[in-house]
Amino acid sequence: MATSSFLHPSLGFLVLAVILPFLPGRQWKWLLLIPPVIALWSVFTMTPGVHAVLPYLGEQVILGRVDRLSLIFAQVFAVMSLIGMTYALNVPDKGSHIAASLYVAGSFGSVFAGDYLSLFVFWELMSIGSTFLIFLNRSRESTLAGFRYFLFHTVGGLFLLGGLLLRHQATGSFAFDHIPADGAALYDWLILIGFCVNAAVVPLHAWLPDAYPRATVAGAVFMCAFTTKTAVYVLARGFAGWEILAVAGAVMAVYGVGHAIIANSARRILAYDIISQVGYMAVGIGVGTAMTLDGAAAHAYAHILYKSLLFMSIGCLIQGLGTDRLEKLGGLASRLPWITLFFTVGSLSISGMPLFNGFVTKTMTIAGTAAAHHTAIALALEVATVGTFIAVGIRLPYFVFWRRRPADAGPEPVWKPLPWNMYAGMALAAVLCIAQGVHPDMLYHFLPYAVDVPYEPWAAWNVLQALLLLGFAGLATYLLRGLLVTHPGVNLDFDYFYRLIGKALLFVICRPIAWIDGLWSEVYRVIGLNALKVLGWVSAWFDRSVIDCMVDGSAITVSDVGRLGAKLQSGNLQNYLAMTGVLFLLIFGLVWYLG
Amino acid sequence: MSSLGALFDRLGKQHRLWRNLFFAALVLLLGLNLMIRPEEAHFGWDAYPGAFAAFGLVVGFVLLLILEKIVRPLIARKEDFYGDI
Repeated sequence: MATSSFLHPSLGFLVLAVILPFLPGRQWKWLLLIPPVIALWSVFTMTPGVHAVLPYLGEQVILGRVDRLSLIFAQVFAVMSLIGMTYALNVPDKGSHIAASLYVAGSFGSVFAGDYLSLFVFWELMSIGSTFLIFLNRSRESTLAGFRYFLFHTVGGLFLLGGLLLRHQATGSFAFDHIPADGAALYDWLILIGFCVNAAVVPLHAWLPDAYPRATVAGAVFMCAFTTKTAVYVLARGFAGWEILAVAGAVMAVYGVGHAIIANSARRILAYDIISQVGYMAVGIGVGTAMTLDGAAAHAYAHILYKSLLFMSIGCLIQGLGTDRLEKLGGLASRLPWITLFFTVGSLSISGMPLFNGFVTKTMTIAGTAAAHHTAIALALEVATVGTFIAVGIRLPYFVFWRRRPADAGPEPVWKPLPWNMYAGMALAAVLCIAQGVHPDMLYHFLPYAVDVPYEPWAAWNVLQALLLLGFAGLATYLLRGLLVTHPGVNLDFDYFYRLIGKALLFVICRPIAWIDGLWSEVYRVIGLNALKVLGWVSAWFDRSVIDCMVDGSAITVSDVGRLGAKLQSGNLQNYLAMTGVLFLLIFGLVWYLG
Repeated sequence: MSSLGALFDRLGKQHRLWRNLFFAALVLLLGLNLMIRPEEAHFGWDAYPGAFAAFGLVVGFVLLLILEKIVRPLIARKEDFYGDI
């Protein structure tokens, strides 16, 4: 029941997903841009309040809770959906667009959900849509990664489901509101774990660097934007001020960047850096002041823009050159200058360089954390800032774009030209990264919480501090540049333990089942087979004695009758007349007797 | 090669120029830090000029050394470590 002031942004994407399979030709691609435009219009025109309340099984399902927190996330989701659909415009695979549409619809639905029931439905829709964005890369590697991704998110979803059902049993309500940290019950922790899976909180994070590098080129662009940021939103909504999130965020920020520095494929570096950047947001939420919550929301906004820009740039290399392995790349700055330029904007943004949007959001979160006297955590974020600059600001662009391509990297791959829309998507994101960096108010204006003293990112000290930190981190990297080499191979992560747990589970489940199966086979062999033998003997006897007798008797009778008939057919007309006369007399006698 | 590509090509070959500009910028930043200080030193040590420069340098060193020399050798495996998955 939509009111005039609320049109759910998911609607356009759901309609697109339903009608797309039935549209012929190739011109349907222009329809891909309509849902994002509707979503943008919807987000900028909807009024705060509670909309689209549906009664369901005696509960109130709220599809449209609109306030400043949901609005800022919905706004960046709408912007991102336009960027993503523009980038993916020429992808011929309808399945990919359907999966992306369902995924985006699930994200919008989660952001506007006012109750756990509808949140769960949209949460799972996201999980299904994103899984297909991995499957549709259509390789054995991506199929298996997609399966692991879905399995992990199903487990996370079950935590959420268990928590919300237990919560309903205890409180009688599915309302999705803030949960105070003091006095939280078991069901609240279950819900938190469910959210933390999607937020890639260490050690529940390894699905992310496992799956994102194996998704389709356009799919990874969508995925880097929506799953973790939807989780950030629900954490901000439900768990603001939970100290444990601040600690977890600090661990994420440092752990993610540590892996990013030594990873070997470009998309895996970016995937690990997502964990690190979401760590900043988790810290902001965990500290829970107005400034850090604003910082978390702002950083989520900026991160969606610059991380999608980075994934788009690397996606271009995968589509055009067929690889994102660092040991096979190099010397692309002069060959692919526009992609180099867009990547540079993204890498400077993520590094928190002044003039780019990461600077105005990352420093806000760190300053808010320090101002709230979480000094050690703020320090961990500064360490992560240094690491991010080394990983994505220096190492990644150096190996991909600026170094001379190594002679042992094999034959130089042939560049396949890319469609214009991929450049358009990157340009849109790059312009926004710079615009927000130069004019932070165009982002700050939408922040959800009012602060007493507004943060001034362009204060002289803030700019100088950022430049000092990044500049001397760059000096350290320059002095240790001999350590910067590529290493083909994989680096172990917590997914090693996931696989062990999976094997142990299989062992635990398979052993008893195998034992029962063996026992049953023995019982069958001893009892079942003998019983079958007896039954077979009885059946054979019955067949021989009864069935065969009846069948044989019938056959003999038919044979005798046939033989008699043959004898009667002598060919003599006299015999036939005599027999006709006898037959007539018999019939006459019978009729006379009966009459 | 496009004009932007040619520009990047030229810039990429100016190693010495970039290095000198980089060092000059670092010196300039340190000089500015003598005049510009934080209003409130959150960490204590950041009240001193050059503190964040030292922090960036030391953290950069430590991160690279620990990760490349200790962590990577411990966790690096061959590409097919998990089989074909």
